[in-house]
Amino acid sequence: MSSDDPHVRHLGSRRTRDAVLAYAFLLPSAVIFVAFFFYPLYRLFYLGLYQQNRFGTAERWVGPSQYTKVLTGSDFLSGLSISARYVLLTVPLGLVLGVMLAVSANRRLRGIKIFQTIFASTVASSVAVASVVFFVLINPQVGYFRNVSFLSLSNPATALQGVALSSVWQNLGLTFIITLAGLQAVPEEIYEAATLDGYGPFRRFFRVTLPLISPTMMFLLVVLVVFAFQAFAQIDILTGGGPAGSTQTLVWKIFNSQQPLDQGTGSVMAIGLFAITLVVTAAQFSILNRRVHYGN
Amino acid sequence: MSEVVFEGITKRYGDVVAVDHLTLDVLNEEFMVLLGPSGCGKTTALRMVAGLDAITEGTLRIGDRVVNDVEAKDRDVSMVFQSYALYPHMTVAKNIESPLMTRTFAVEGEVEPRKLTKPERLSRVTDAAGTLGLSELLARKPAALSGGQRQRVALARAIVSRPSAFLMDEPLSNLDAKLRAQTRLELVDLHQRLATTFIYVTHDQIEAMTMATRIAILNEGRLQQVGPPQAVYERPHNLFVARFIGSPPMNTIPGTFVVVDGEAKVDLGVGRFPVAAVAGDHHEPVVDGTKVVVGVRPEHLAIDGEGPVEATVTAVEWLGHERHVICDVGGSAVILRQPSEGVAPPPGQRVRIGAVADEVHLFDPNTTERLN
Repeated sequence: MSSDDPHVRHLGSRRTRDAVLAYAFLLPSAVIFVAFFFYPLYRLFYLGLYQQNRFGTAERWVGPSQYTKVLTGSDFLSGLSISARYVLLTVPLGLVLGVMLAVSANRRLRGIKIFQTIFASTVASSVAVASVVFFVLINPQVGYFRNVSFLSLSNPATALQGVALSSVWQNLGLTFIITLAGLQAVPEEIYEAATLDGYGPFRRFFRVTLPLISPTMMFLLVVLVVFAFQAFAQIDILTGGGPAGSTQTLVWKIFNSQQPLDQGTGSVMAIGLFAITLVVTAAQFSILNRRVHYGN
Repeated sequence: MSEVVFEGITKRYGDVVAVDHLTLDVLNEEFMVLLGPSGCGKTTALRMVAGLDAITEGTLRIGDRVVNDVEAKDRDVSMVFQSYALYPHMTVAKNIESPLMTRTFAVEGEVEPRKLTKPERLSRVTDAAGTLGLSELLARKPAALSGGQRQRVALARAIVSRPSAFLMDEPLSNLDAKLRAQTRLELVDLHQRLATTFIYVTHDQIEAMTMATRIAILNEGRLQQVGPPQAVYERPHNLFVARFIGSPPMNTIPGTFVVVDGEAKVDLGVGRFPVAAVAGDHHEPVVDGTKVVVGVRPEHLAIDGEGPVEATVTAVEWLGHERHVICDVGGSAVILRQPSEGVAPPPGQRVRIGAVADEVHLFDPNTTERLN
């Protein structure tokens, strides 16, 4: 066929038209990504290379050395350490509780929808609401549970635990709903086959249910880790970073470094947090993906 | 290797009766097919044998044990599910080994049943895989298998525990037509080799006719007839069985039983078919003038210039090896099965048809029960 062939020309123009249409469909999301993700990321990189004056009206090139200085500095490392502790306090407990609730509510019983709705209800509450609720519960002066020592917000050794509990509670609805959806996607016949094979409840859960909902677990693990690294409002409301800086996570430090003088430092910290979250997520995928079964 | 006995088994879901006083004796080493349309209760009956559904009423025995309250794992039965229900995260070997992991088994030379050791389990898995031709696929996961291979894994998982009875819930329905025909033969062969009781649920009469030692036909939770495939086909006990078994189904035409010059006939309004026997077995004699439903299989009708009944051809379906001539007989659509050779009568042509007198069945229009 020569290029003069009208069929080839027709095919070529159709391909161009399809490509234009495809890019047109991609454009809105591309604009949103550029405006709200890529440009801010670029600005962070940029700001990390400069130091602002106290009024924020002029900036001075300080170069990549600012990255080295901030990322190896005690402020960043202590924030990172507190953030990591926060992840460890919130993610495993949240995941286990969510799965337990979902497994217990995944039954054909009269009225089970009521329990499912109650268990899922925290998904409808904002971080602010959850924090206020926990403020009332564990406030050191007026809280109902002010005497529960391991949740005390006034003790630097326990304050992070109190805040973490509010996060666990707030994320429980999300974990519950997503796990329940995962459980309900497991075909009933597989459980029946397990029953005939003589599997008891524990063996059935660990050998059948858990492997089959592993993609859901993987998703929740990644999301909850990211949520925990990004947690801010509950810390600001419940402890304001205290007592004695014991709840100053990386995000809290980044937020509080947004005065003109510290803008460069905060930007570097934000880039650092972004990189760490990216690495942790990638590590989760590469290490755990081998254990995840994605079905047929 | 046990018989399975249903004694007045009933299953109710609230007000809905899924299985209604089912009494059925599945003999030892028999291939029993539970056949019926969707919602007839056949799968529920099977699930009650498996122990997956509780029995509302009646007694169920497997061998000499009443198993109404025995847990599924202790009933010594295996089940092949419609979807195969393989564990997708396990290899073929692990899937087959699964029923051996927790249950106890009688071991030759030992008094008490016990859990199998790993070498014993592996030996059984190898045997079962060999029987089903899966030896090369043991390391694969179900997602890497074809539909037919998955089906064989499900069968291997069922036979590995060497149960008293195999329960199968429409295991061929996910296969294409060619593979289904091939697997039917393999299942019959497997039944012969294992010499174990099979209870097989299907809505497909071809599967039932080709594999069953006996067929139990159910409708609306009630047992309609039990018998070998040929007996069920040739002497249906009622109109439901007559219409359900056979493809195309038996023609059923309203008529009146008459005796003319001492000969028994059925009057269809457009002619009279002869009837061979009007009282046999334990049936009451049918008297002259009784309203009946006449049943004749398509292969027992023929276009015949001397035939006693008038008909008009409405359509002809050519199927390659045969053709179906659809006629209007006094307002009823009637199908005749003909060899495909020769010229088919064109639609609109008026013809005369005859029937084989021995093959004309009479049914009571009210009770739908067989009369002759």
